[in-house]
Amino acid sequence: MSALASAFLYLLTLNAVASAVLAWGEASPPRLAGWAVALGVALALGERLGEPFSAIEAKRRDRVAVFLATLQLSVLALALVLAAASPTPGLLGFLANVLCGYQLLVLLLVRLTLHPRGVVGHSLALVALACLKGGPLAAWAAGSTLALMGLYVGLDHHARLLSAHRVDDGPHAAHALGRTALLVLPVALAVGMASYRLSPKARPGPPPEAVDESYRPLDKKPKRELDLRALRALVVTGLAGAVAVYFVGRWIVRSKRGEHRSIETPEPLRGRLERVQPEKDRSSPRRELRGRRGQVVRAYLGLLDGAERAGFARQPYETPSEFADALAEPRATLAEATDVFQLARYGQYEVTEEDVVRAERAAAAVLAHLARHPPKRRAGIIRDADARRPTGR
Amino acid sequence: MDERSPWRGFLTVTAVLAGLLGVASGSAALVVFAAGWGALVALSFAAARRDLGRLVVRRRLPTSSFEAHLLTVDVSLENHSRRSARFVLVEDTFGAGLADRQSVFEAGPLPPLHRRVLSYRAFVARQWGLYTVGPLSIGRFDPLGLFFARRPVPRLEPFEVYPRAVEIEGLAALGGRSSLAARELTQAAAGQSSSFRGVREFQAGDDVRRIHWPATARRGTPMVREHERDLRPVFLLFLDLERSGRAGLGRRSTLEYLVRVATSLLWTAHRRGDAFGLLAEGERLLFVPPALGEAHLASCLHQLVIAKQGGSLPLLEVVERHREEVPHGATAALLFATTDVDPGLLGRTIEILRSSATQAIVVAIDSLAFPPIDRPPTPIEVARDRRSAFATRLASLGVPTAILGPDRTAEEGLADPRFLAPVPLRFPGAPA
Repeated sequence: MSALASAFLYLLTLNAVASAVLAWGEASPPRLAGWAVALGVALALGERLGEPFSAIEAKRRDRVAVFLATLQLSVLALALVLAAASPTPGLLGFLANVLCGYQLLVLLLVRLTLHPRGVVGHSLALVALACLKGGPLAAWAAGSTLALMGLYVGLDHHARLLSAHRVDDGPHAAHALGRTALLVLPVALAVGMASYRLSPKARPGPPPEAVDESYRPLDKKPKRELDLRALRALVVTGLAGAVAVYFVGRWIVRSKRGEHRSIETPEPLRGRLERVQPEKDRSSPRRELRGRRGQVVRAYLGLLDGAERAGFARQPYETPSEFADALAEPRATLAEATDVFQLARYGQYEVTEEDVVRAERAAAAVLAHLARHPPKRRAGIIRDADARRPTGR
Repeated sequence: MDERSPWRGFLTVTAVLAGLLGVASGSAALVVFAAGWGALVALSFAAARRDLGRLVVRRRLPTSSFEAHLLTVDVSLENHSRRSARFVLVEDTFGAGLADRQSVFEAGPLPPLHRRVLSYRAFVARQWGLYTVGPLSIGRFDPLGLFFARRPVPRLEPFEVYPRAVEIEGLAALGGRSSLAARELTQAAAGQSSSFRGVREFQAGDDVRRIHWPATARRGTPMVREHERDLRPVFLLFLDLERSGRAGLGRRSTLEYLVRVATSLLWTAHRRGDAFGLLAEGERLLFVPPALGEAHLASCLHQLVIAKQGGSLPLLEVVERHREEVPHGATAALLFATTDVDPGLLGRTIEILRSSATQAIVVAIDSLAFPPIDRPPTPIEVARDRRSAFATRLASLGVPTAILGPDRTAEEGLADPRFLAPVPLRFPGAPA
């Protein structure tokens, strides 16, 4: 399952790079194929580097990771602020190329930390760049990235969960993929469609600048005006970077702290599968019978409830007589309660006040007996063999 | 596995930043992306909790164990929902173990209306005493692993840990002695011996398999066979729980030594097939009449692990008071918490026990040598003299004796082959 997760990570990065290049760079099939190969090689190398990285002391590795994360965050913040503040196609194309190249470096260091947040974060930055373009490409980038990111996170989680409990993940990969996809894909589809509906057309590029080809003396160079927008963007980026560095550092330090409880995850000895009886649906009300007939039935149902509390529940297939035979004791009062119940419930005779008294007295006597001498508890297990056995009815 | 998702916080922050960037730059796709991630988080939250209430978990384990034993705890997981359950985590807290939690995992599929028993092995790492097992909890991650939903099953079960029992070679060497018990120990019916005693008339409650058909035919009324009753050696342990015997702290306390030695004595008696019992007077009378079997042993050990040294009667007085509980020919073990015992009274008690053919053995914990907790320390010379007087008196009476002090642990003392070694017979004129 780890391999499957890595495949989705690769697709995520490739999709992000392709989206950014298609949006702002010079995209051509050979160029995109080149990126695909380069990203694949970088990820493969990054995966191979996991072993040497694991040999480095954890504290030192964390320090390097924090440094690189801060650097990466600064670059991303700068790039995105520049992109949002002065989105000229030339600048965006340049940023797309730089960030795509940076993605290769990030992929090489994919196993420096336990969770490749850098790769995912960088891919999202590239997608954000692509989304600035708007139109179908932005819709595709947003939807597909959400889908790939969700699938990767889900598979990565399942792989770690199964590995932590030493369970072979092979048989569970398809199910893990299925349940993750079931959750993620509808949302991703909705995101793509909503994006397209809200912004169906790509952002138009700026009008071409008129070139001043009039005569200018050679010794008189044109004065460059101070680009206030770029300056503002730089200041904002610097401030944002400083704040980000502070919070990222604090977050990393705090995430290592906390209560470290020792948890044993022993390999469970799995028993065989057994069938159990369904729990009774208490919400379905019993049919109310009125008059004396109802009193007799209620007395008998009270008897059944008492027997169930004592651990001897009536089985769904048992008739009142069969239940009385199974419970056996106290034989006389049980037989009396059963007879009066059958008479009242299924008979056509008029139920007398004497029958009601008999039923209530017998039920009370049975309950008192069960309280004094609890019956042998009925097992709540139905064996598969029993369940398949024909009943003969 | 850590229940906190490594992705939830990171991706949420990233999505929020993307949303802000989208608002700032007018990119609808980024805003929708952030909203989509929010929806995904909400769906994950709901998915983790779905059907969790329809999973039922129960635990089954023995109620007690000895120290350093490995035992199996069964956790049965039942699925009462309409869907198959997968990737379910059951966590349990085994108080007598070292780990805070034991986590067992059911990868599934567990079909609806089915159960599976998952077992884990727990090592009893803590010292003897009363512990709890539980609470259980059942939990599940959502498909993305962003949330972990847990449903606690607040069911605590008591669990007793008994001291590690050592078979005492010296006690085993005394041999099993058939005591002429004047009363039944475990049952009121005829015995199970192979020796045929005779036939008598059938009485209500008799086993029908014992009906003697030829005699029944001759007499015209049901007759049953009767067999001789097997004689069982009886071992009765008198435990000193007098308050004045308290000394030392923790693993080097007299209570610790008393409980460990008593456990080993009872265990050895059980192993050699004796009917064994326990008698002590602490804050209340503690009497477990002699009987056989593992359940009976557990009952005795339970009394031991909850015992407190809060009594006011010296052990010799306890023996005197309950002398009639010792069957004729039994073995009576006197476990003293101190060596500060009147030698004259000790000798008289031993003689009284011997008068009913009872073999006495004595184990004493030298409380005077332990750090005192509620009295001034005893000078070393005084403690040594009292110990010496105690040992000399018992040796003169020919009683197998062992005295344990804080110089070695109870386990080391019990493992010593000289512990309770029988006193060799001395013939007049033989060299000492």
